[in-house]
Amino acid sequence: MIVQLQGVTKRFGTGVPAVDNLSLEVKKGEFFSLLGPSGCGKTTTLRMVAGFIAPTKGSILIDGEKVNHLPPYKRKTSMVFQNYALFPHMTVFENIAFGLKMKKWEKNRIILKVEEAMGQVKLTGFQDRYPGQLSGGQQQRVAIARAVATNPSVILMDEPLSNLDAKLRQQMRVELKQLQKEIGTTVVYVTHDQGEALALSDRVAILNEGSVEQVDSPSQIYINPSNEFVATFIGQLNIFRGRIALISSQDMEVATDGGLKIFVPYEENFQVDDTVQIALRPEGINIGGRELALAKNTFSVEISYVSYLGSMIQYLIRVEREEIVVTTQSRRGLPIFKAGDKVQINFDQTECMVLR
Amino acid sequence: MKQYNKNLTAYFLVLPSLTLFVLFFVIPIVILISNAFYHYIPGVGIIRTFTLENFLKFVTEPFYFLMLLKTFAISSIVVILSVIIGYPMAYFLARTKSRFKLLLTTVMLMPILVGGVIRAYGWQVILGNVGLINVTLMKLGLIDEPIKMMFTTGGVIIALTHVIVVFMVLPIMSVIKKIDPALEEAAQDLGANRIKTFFKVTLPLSIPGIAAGSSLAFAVSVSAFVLPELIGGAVVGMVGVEAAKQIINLLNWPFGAAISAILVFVSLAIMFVYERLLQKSSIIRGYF
Repeated sequence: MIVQLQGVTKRFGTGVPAVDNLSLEVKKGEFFSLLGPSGCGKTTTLRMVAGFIAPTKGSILIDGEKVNHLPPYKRKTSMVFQNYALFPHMTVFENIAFGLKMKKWEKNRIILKVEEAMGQVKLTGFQDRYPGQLSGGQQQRVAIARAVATNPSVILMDEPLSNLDAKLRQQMRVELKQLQKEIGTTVVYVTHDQGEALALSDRVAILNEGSVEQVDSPSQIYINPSNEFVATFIGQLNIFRGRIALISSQDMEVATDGGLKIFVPYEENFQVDDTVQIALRPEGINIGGRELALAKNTFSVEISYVSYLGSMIQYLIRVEREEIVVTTQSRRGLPIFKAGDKVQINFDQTECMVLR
Repeated sequence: MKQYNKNLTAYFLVLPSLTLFVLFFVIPIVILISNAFYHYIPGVGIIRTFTLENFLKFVTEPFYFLMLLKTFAISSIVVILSVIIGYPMAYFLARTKSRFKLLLTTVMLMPILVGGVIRAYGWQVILGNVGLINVTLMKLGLIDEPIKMMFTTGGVIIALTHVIVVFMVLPIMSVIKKIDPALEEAAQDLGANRIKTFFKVTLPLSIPGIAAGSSLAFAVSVSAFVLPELIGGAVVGMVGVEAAKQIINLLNWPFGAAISAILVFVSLAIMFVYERLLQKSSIIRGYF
């Protein structure tokens, strides 16, 4: 374990704790993300690992060593700040060399290491520029090179891509992941962008109100969210509230408040009349004509609104008193329906997540 | 056309202050300095014919030249003391999140909110032979006879620093406010302890504030008049006091004007060189 948080609590003043009895473990070489809405405590957690904030309770371990009382300059962590925090009075070279100079490396070794780091972030030739002369993307690369150069046990990143435009963000995402694989460093990454977390991470921790809701691989978090918060926070979701009307050996029939009957796979610990929520991803629903009338969960519906999104088409559907969002990929040869079209939708029972 | 209108608006906006500036600053200065080129004969008065004798008198008589040197020396010490005392104050006021921030800033400004004469008498009460410090030390038995502080160069420096430090704190404070605290965090994160962080990051980035503050402080100190007069008296001669004495007491306008002119031009030259040197050493490019 590179980073361990054991029952960490942080309270600012007397109010609700920003981080509440949080425990986490980050493995060596792992790309680990802290994902959550703003105010969930993810940045506070990261800053406690870096040493800028002291926890009120609990222990923080880096490389198995308790670091609670170590100042930031004695911790084997490197931070990439949201606004990069490059030293404006130093050149790119001096910025990257800063940490090495503090470690009292000899000059020739520093030059070699800085050149290597600049190569890793594709900035070779920029060593004499000042941060003010670089674009946002280039500044970002310097910040990453500066963090990487000191060979930290763990690199901490605080929403590092949030100040870049959409296209550059996509590109940096790929490069960041490649770089992390290449040098094999452990990364703890804070973001509120679920796409970023899912695309980059080996494991993601979903945080809400200072506590961990779920820690898992991106695909598990998407497919098997452990509760409603995670399910609704990640991706789009149709939620049906209702109660169990019938339980058979294979499935359970749920009567939703909106007047639908939906069949979900049998699960233990449920009884007739229990209130449940069924969560269903928009892309898990098929839409089409007569040919669909096979699965148990099939409904004849009318399309009320269509959003054409390029690679995807999103349909808003009203059936009984429920509203359902359905997304399909746009492909040549597939029909595009219009508002008012009468169609069939269906979905496999296994697409349904049953939450209490 | 639009650009033209904008420029016109800008001129209108500066018109009132420009008028004041020309009427009450530029014109009097020109009149004063033109006086420096007239003769003055004691008992007779000002003779309006061109001469350089006033400037020659200042340069050739060691008394005046030494006085100028002393004024600059005192001012330099005051500037250095102001940086040392003012920087921590500025840093604290720029970074504090205390709810008393406004109050503390006002307290810091107090010296310039109190009139110069009142402030000078205040210092007399503290520094005098039967003043606060001497009486306390004598009652405590630490000294047998009072330490002379009134009418000494040291006393003038203390009193000047007290007010001039404010002119140092304000510009440094505004520059520190603009330094992203994340820069200090980044330095610490990269292994710099607090002292190294200060000397490698915070201090270099504060240099524009120190430069502005020093120029301001130097200008105020060099031209100081009330404090040196009331605390230094005749013993601590400063150029500002001498110029005033020539004009007010001896009615020797031409010589007083020459002293003033020399003072203004030499201090401007010193400040110019100083700013140049700082700019060169501070290697801050592409940022400010």
